[in-house]
Amino acid sequence: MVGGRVWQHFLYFLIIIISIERLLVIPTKEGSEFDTNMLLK
Amino acid sequence: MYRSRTIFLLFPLLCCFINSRAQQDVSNVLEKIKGSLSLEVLHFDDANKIREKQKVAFIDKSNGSLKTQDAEWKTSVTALQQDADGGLQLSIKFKLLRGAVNNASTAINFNFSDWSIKNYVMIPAAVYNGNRFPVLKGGYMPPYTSDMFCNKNVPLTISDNPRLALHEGEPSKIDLLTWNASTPAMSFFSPAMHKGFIVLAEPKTKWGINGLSVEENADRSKAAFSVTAPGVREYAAGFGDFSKSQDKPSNWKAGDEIEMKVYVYVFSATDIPAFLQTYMDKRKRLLGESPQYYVAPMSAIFHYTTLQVDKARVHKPSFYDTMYFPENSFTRFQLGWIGGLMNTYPMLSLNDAERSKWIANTFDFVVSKMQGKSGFFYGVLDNGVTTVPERPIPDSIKAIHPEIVSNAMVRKNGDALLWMYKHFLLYKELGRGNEIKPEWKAAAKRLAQAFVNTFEREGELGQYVDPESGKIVVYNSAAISSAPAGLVLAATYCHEPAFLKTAEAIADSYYNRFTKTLGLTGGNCGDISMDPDSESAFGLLESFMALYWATGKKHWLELAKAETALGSTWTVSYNYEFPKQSDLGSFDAHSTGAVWASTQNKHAAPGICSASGDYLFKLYRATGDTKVAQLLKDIINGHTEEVELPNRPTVSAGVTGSERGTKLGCSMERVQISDAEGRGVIGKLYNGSNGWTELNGLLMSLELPGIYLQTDRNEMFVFDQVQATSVKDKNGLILMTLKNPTPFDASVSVFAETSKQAAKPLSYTAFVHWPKVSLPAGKELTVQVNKDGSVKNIQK
Repeated sequence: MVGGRVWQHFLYFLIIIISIERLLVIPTKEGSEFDTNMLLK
Repeated sequence: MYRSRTIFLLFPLLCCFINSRAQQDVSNVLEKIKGSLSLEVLHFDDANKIREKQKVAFIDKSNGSLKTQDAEWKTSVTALQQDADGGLQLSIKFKLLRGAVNNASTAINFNFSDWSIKNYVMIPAAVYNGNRFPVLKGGYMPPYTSDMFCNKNVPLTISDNPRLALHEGEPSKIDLLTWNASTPAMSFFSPAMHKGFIVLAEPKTKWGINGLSVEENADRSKAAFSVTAPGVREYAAGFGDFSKSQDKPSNWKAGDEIEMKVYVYVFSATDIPAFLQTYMDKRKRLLGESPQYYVAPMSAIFHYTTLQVDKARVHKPSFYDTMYFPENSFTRFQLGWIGGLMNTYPMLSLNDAERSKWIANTFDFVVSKMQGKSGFFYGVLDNGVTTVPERPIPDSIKAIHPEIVSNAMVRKNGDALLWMYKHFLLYKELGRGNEIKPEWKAAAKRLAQAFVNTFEREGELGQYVDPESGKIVVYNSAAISSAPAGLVLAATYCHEPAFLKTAEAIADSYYNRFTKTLGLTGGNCGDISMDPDSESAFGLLESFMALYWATGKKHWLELAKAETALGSTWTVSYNYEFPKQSDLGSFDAHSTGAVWASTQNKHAAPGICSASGDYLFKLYRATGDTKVAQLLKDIINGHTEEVELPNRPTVSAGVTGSERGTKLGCSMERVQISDAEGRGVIGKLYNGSNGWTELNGLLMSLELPGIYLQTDRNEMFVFDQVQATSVKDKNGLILMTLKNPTPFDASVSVFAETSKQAAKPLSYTAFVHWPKVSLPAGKELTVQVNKDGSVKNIQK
């Protein structure tokens, strides 16, 4: 049960990380190298 | 007095007459193309699916009514204006007289019987030929499937975009909002009837952004084009994918009323090019020309962008000497497209020793490291050594075709060919022809020969080629766009008539295959599939004008007109109202003239990728068509709006703190007027710069005249953001008064010539000789324009 919760938290963590990563990648002609830098305002 | 009183008394009668004729007028217009008008109230469920459609019954020629148990609607259709050519501007009103209606939208439907899937459906910058093509799922730049490689019969295949159904039995509907299009418009051409239909709409009503939808019935015998208020989509289109839309139907209470204005035009058209040219003529008919704003002169754009290029695009990498990079990476070099071996051209025009060394290094780098055995170049090189295949080749294909080593975009090779020769011409014009190294010339000629060899062998040039074997890796698409222009320059420079002959054959072939037959060109951007795009349309236009330059044949002007019309469909024709809190809204940016790149990447951008659009100037000069000049002026204005300048933060508009306003000369590729990247991204800029949008500004400032004047005719067009008037004095001399309303000092190039001179195609380096008028910020000045085109200051 406890192990299940750890996995659940890990899954949530993964989903959040993937979501943030997706947000950081804005498609431009120059690819992602441009984009992540651009968001570091 | 008597007359004015009569008009006053007759006015209400006239209004009634116009009113009563409205339905009849629109019916008369639409019946020419087997069409009719209907009005509906649409009801939605919580998931934005249409739950019910209620049709309005017309009571008379103007008024309609819809009565249900809970509500009563009144509608009216009023003809505001009818053009001599039959174009009709309508005001259509919906009013809820009784009851309350939630989750609803109102629809103006143009219904067509006798429909055919052969009809060419075009929604500018979003839908070409109905987007009725095979689709790759997978979002932004989806991988190509193995059957697309080395397959001569590969169909034109696009990313997952809004489209009409390709197969029988599938639902066939396109649902967009007006912000998904460069002009709020829908259109089609019927090859069977030789007729075209265009409806222009307003961007929004008080309920929000209007909708544009096209729906075919099950057996495709009927279609409806609908303008809705508000627009309610079940799904919103993204960059090659869809997500649940956040559109909200409106909640009506008794007394609520909206008015929608539309412009409807039905016309004869022999073919798709004729249809597109009529579209270009009409696209601003409802919303009108955008006002001219005075942000900065072209010379200021050149000055500040040069500072940015000096700062951000020159670098000494570990693997080579100091050279120009086209983008923000100093490990990757992309040739052509976004500026590799292109951004060196405006730097060469500065004609100084230090930059010349860097330009030469860039040439050496490209020529020594990026050319394959076939003569074609690789499009991407990492760390000066690693060539990057632009479309990863599946193992199954490698096994069948072991001779294929890699692949590169044909488009990048076309650009490389064109810009290498443009550099050579500029070197010569500057009296520095001796600096053109023999190995550069040899490399350029080998590339020209590679195009000729492949075209002669295959009858086409494909989208991707293998730089080693010269074989086409992915066929189809119009990715060759600028290659014929490159071949034309190669033919002239190398005195090789065979290059010119092939250029003509390629240009004719691709025009017929794509522009004329499909009504689109595509596959020209490095980050899309074979989607329709603007870059190939403008690239082909470059080629047609190059062919006109070399041959003087009017045939190329005719093709150029059609291609320009296609280019106009990609260019935003009105000022979208950005949210005030957005970056673009914060400095009141104007979207007119921003150019969409492709149907996959659903945003506009500052300028054409990557060009000045000088071919539009050349076409205007050859034909006198001011619509072409205005299109170019819009594009210049659209770019200028986005450039960060002193006291005008643009890319850094969203930044707080000391960095705000420091990105002088920066511009970036987003002019996002839609929710394709989410509602929160509308009007968003990113705090940085794209090399290719910088390059656009540099090229426009360099290759286009600020003011163009034909001295023997009353013909003047001002491209720069200054004001000018001209008069002839009693001695026949032209006096031109210039005013600079911008906050920046200007150096305005003036190109004056006679109409006889204008009949001769313009050389590629003519700009070197245009005189410049210095005009301080806010000042006015009169100059004398002499018959030889020279300019003399006569008054400050």
